Amino acid sequence: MILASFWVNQSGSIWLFVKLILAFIVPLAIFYGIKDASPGVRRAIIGATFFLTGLVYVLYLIWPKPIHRQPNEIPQNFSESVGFFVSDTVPVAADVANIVATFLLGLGVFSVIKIHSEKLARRHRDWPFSLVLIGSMLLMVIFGYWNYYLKNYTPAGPSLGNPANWTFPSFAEDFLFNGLYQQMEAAMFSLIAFFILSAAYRAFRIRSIEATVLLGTALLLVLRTMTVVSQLWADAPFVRDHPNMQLESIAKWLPNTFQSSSIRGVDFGVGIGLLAMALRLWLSLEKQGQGA
Amino acid sequence: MNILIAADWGNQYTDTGWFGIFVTLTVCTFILVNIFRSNQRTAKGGQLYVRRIQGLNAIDEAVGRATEMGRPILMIPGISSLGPVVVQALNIFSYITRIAGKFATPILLCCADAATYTVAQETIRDVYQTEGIGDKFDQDSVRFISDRQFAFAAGVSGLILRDQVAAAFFMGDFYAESLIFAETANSVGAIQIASSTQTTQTPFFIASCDYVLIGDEFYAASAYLTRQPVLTGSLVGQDWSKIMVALLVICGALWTSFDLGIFHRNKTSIVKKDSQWQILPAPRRVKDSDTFMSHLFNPQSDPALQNTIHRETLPSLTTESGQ
Amino acid sequence: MSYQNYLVYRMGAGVLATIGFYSVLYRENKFYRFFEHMYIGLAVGYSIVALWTETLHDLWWHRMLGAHAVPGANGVPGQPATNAHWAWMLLLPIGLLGYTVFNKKYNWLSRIPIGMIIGFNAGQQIQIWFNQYGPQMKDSMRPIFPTTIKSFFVPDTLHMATKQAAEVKNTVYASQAINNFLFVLTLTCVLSYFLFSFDVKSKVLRGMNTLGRWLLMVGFGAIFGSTVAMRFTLVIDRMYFIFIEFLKQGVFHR
Repeated sequence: MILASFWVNQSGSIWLFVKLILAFIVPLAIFYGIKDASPGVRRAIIGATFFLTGLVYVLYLIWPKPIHRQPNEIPQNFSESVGFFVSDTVPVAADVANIVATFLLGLGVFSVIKIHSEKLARRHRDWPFSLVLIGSMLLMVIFGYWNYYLKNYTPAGPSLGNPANWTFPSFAEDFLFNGLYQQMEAAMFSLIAFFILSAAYRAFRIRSIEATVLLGTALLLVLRTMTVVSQLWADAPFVRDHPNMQLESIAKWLPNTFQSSSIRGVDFGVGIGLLAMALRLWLSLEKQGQGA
Repeated sequence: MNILIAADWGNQYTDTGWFGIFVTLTVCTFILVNIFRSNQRTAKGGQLYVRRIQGLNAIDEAVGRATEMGRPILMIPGISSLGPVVVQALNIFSYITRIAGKFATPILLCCADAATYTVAQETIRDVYQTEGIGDKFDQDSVRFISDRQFAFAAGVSGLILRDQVAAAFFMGDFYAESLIFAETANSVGAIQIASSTQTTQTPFFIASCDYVLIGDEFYAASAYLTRQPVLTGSLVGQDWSKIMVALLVICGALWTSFDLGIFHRNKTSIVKKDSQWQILPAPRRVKDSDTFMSHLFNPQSDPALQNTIHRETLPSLTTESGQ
Repeated sequence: MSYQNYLVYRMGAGVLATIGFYSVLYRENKFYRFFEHMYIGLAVGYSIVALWTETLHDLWWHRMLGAHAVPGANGVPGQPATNAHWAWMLLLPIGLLGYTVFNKKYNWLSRIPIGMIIGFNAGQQIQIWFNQYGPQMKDSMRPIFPTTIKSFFVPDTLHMATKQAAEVKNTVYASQAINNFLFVLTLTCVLSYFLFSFDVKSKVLRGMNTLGRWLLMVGFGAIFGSTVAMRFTLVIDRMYFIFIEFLKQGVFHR
């Protein structure tokens, strides 16, 4: 026996499908109705969207949270009803934002396909590369879903964990994802090592005092990892008698004393800036889009 | 007493739980009060002071150079998903687009998130329309590349190299890929103005970009550029909040020092547990967890509270179960 | 083709791609361009797959339609039925509103789904602010006076009894007090550097401001230095993949 209420239905029941269809059509009809709203009404609708969605979290912060709540309990009074509602809503809210954002992915994909299919159609200088892009995208989608289908909706699904049972789609998906995509990601990530050197070299040449302070500190921390250097330093006359002067100790002392504190100073500022921005957005104080 | 307050006020107010909420609300109040003040002052014809922010003066220079060279301006609002950070980045980008639009300089705005892409389309089109050059807006100047971090980095690098961008603006949440962008753009000789709200990436931007907005200079940017009363007011409120945090830290450090005892360590005979004070069998040295500040910032739960609440329950549900 | 052979071919493709990406360090070329476009294609394709398999199916579809009980078989445990919540369907028309963005007249409707995403995010930032920064504030309130004058430096606890070591841990030595003082000072100076609405005229404040910027550079340098080593492990990992895994163990060891 499953509890059937207005919000909850048994899977596959007729009422569920009626409600689903209505839940799809009614909002669309409403949106169609308001599409020509006057600018003032538009602003009100958008402002209300910001306010109501943000309100859930703000209430979660300040509205009294029900004490020692157990499953299936009934709230005692109005305050508790709100409290129950808010604490039930917050875990779902992140998912709601996530799902809505996922629906928008189509727009992004549309942008990619549009730009590259136009290049193809116009025989732009780089059209073969656009073909590669669209081709590899299609292959990934086809084999990605094919393999997903095989894994989850066929009797052979659970056995596909073992490569011995693989058929063509599984091989293709593995080749595209593990063989190419993952390797490309690692390659791109590791490129940073080369860039870090060229950036350091350039900053070193600028010879501003600030850049020198930055790179001097960086150099000290890098040198620490080189055994030869730290050994040489440790054998220096003054350092030998003062263990606190060893490279290892200095290299630990610098980040502990200056890195975490200065970064924290920056982060407090950033955090307050973010809070202020969030507050302005939530209350629609910001003229969004025309802001700057 | 504690039980009474919590029962009326809810779980998060138990013990010193109110403190965090109080600080948050104080910061919000500072910001809102100053927005109000700023609005009033503007109505009287005055303005609140905002100090010079170096990187931002370079925007005109960068756009000017792109215009001279006839090469595009690249803008990237970070790779995080849509939120206040992205909106702030787009605010700065609308300002840049406005100047670029006047000179018909081509722009290129690359997004790593589809929702961000949607807002950016909207925002940039809006800028062109309010400037009265809506027909010059090219839908393809705002692009979605990929929502995977390094695929996005690869795509943007390719664009920088092939389109030979003249100016590049990296503003928002950047992570490891920050250096890929900055060094690639540098290799084609672009002027770069960057800012990452991820403090761990700022040093790389400093090493490789021409101008860097550090920390919350990023949030101050739109106030500085537009001098809108709401934004300058909010900025003053933020400053008040920063001063409050600094004072809190200094006072806290002093208070903790005195709690621990200077030069000779203090002893304590009572200890707080489950938000109740308990007497110790023998006095012991004060630890950091015994200090006032530690109690203030780490509210304790009160197990006795649960006996004060008796709610009715719904009849329990049974569901068909798989055998 | 055996699975082992397949693996070598798969690695070969990965090696080619790696070389393709590295070639950009010399300059932009067609080889790089080929792999760059392939990479973006695969990434977008993968996002389209993950869209359903990682987000919508579990978070949305499954909750919306619920499921009948699945009887267990062959040792695989069955699953109980889950309820269906039709209200999740409401998100689809809202999401679809985003697609009005290309329409010149009705593009304002796209701000509704956008407003939801930003609204939730903004609200969340307000809610978590203190949870995020409160502990950092507490941690910064470090004692700036020593609690003992027995020793300037912290004694070595390596050969001490547990009780004594705990005692040392709860004591603030002079050297620690100085470090803590520097910590609080740095934090305050850096914060003062980020005050935008004050025209700093006093010499002390101006000095603090400049000091703040310098200390900031020391902090940034420390980040820079500690990241360099991490990034090089990535390159070493790639080299290991090409030379050891692919060439030595794959191609020449068959």
